[in-house]
Amino acid sequence: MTVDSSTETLSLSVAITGSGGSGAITCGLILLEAVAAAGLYGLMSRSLGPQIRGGESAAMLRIAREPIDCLDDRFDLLIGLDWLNLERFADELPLVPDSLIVTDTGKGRLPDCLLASRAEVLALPVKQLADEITGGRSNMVALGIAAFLCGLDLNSLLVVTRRQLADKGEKTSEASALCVARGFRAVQNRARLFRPYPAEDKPPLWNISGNEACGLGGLRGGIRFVAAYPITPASDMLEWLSPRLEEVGGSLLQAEDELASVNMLIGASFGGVPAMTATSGPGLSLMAEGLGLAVASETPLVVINVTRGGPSTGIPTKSEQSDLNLAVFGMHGDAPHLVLAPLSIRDCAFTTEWAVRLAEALQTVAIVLTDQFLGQNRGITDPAHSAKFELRRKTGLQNEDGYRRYAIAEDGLSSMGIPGMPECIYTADGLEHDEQGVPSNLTSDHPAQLAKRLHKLTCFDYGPHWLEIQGEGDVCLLTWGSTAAAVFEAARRLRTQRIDTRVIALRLLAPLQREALRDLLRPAMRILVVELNHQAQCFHYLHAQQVLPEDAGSLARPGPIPWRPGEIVNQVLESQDR
Amino acid sequence: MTVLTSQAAMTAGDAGHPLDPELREGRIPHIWCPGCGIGSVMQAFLEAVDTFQLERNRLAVVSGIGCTGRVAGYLKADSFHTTHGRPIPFATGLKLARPELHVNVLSGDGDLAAIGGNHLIHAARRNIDLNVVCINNFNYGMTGGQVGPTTPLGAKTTTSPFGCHEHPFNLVDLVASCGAVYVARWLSMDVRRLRRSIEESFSKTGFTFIEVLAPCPVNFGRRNQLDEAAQGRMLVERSEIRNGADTREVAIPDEGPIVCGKFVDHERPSYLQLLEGLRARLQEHST
Ligand code: SF4
Repeated sequence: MTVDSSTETLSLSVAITGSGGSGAITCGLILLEAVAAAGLYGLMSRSLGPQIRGGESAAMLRIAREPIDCLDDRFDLLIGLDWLNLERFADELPLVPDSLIVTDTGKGRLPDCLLASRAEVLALPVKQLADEITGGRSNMVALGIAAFLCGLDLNSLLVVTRRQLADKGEKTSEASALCVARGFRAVQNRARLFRPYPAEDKPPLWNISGNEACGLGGLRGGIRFVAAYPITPASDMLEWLSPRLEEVGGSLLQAEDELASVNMLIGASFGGVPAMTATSGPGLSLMAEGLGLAVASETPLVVINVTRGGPSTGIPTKSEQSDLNLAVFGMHGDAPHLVLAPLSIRDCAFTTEWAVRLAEALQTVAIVLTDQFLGQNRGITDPAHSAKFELRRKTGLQNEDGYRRYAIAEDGLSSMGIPGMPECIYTADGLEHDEQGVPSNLTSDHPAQLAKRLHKLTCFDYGPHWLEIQGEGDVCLLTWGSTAAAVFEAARRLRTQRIDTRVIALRLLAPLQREALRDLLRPAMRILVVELNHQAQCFHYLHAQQVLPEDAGSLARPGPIPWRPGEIVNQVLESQDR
Repeated sequence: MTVLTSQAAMTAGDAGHPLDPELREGRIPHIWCPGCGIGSVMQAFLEAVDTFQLERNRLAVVSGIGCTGRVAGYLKADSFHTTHGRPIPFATGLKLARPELHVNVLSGDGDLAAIGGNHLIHAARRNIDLNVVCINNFNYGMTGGQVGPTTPLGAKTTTSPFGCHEHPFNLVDLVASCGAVYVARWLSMDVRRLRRSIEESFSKTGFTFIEVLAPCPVNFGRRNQLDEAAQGRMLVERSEIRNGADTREVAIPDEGPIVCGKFVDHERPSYLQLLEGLRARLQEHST
């Protein structure tokens, strides 16, 4: 049984496409800002060609009255500034017969792949309308069209447009405002596709990307040093952090490669300054050796891995959850550490702040797995407040009988000497060591230090944050990281179809809270592990950790397109039919 | 010339060695072979720390992997023994986190110029405020004497049994051309000049680099008909001090004089100075 379940959600999905330089993305960004100004929630994803810079692009938005964190199964409105190379996106722009396509009368015939959807087509002289205004541009006319159909108010749209284009000069921003108004009026005789609430009195929503939210979470956690090598899709986090670190007295150094950046973090952290980097798969692979050193020397640091399609150069501009194995198992030797994954754009702030505090308190490495979808997409969300964790790094001389950097303690945590503390001078070392930090290959020291480094992570009380649970039911959808949003929405839709569904979304992947997770899964009749990678990495990881029953199923597929809620609903229904 | 090998330093009698308080008692005896040049470089370094009156709680020593890499562990100082090739990026992070520390890197040629080569040139380019002492023993000693980026053409090693057929680096020229503000080369036996040079490098602001040519009798010398003291003798006999020589002309030749001396000593804004300048400008802007 397959149903179109998307009708339940009270949201509208809009896509604006165009070839390189057409301004589709600018149009989307201003529309998103106008959505925020109207007190609505929103999400904007952008699709770029594989070449990262230049070439065709699409802005894909979803707006709603309630918080939303994933794209819908279909688009209600598609506006084409032109249709060049549209085939490259067609997969990402599913349309249905009651979708509306707006096309420019001057830009030729619609591609067959769009006509096949049998959606309604509205042809408007978009470019002509723009050309009648000196300095006018089609994308601003399209903005007016989209805004009217989204139910937005013209006056506040003009305010937002002028504000967003202020740095382009008076002439441009005025011409743009005129175009916006023209586009708005050109469709005024049509029915609106969405009706927002009259904006209630609530604190202004945030317009933020996951990469920015990770940066914010890092600063809140206390990060004051960042070293990194640019890599898509993580670089914009560095661009956001660079000036803000300066403001708080920290600094960012652009390293010569990821081997350097991870070791610079270890140096800064050894010096007592919390340190973080942002990278993506290829960079994380290069860092693996350094991360092992941080684990062995018990030097805290945080890596944000904004996962892209892999392996190798893969698909740099698209999302995937395929670095889980690397994040969990990528280091040589037995190297226990933390792996976390934010569950939404907004959650990037919380999870990163938590990761920094955990890494500091547990003196270890924390790898935060976001991905291109979370990292580069922008959300209109409720404000994300700081969690203000109490967790701190233990430093200085703790016992009277002399300093032992790697003393075996009940909770596995020993005190870290910081350079300049004369009573706690020690050599930190990647060589296995004894409690003093002296290199040792004794049969007593190696197992004792391995156990210490594992024990401090496994005996720690992580509180309630290691997962999010929603709902009760026989069906249990187990997921992690960015796929969680689509799974939560799928479960809501399943519930409206009287299929009681529980969602367990893991925020802490390592160390896995095995006992607690097993207890939570026990009542479920049917368990499906949902994730965005080809080889079901999380499913196999959970199996290896013996938390899944024999008959648990896997819903795993690779990127480049994130899971959509309707797709999950259909898969669950199909699995029930079997 | 004071010639004091590590062995001599460590067996100076029951009264102990004057540098004993600088060392971690528990770690001695060290791992170095008899006749190895590394011990005397450590001695020169410690003496320089003393004469320069560097406060102990402002001293940090970082080393990588290899025979020289063990230095960090023997010194009574905040120190870090990084993975192979990474002491410079580690030291860079530490210096930025704690600018008041005097951060030193002591490591070998394989560590700094082969696996860590990229970091070396970028640190010199940035003119990051670090003092690097690179002990060049012409081969990979720790792993049993393999060919390296400094092995002279024709020299025999375990992985070049018929003679090395690669050109070696001219390390001082490499680092000078990248922008280091102080570049010198000395023999490990020339403890007095080496100590003075290290002291001098302490007073510089920016990236300093001292290459120390050190005999490795056990792994390099033995395979090249330079048994026991012969390699050291050869280095002393061929060495020639030419301060201020053009680094382009001091590549270590297969035969003939090995030029030592101070080659570069000039000023250039360091990474931290530029960062401070930037911060001052930003401050001005915001007030
Ligand atoms: S192998 Fe060579 S460099 Fe290493 S300790 Fe022995 S003599 Fe020194």
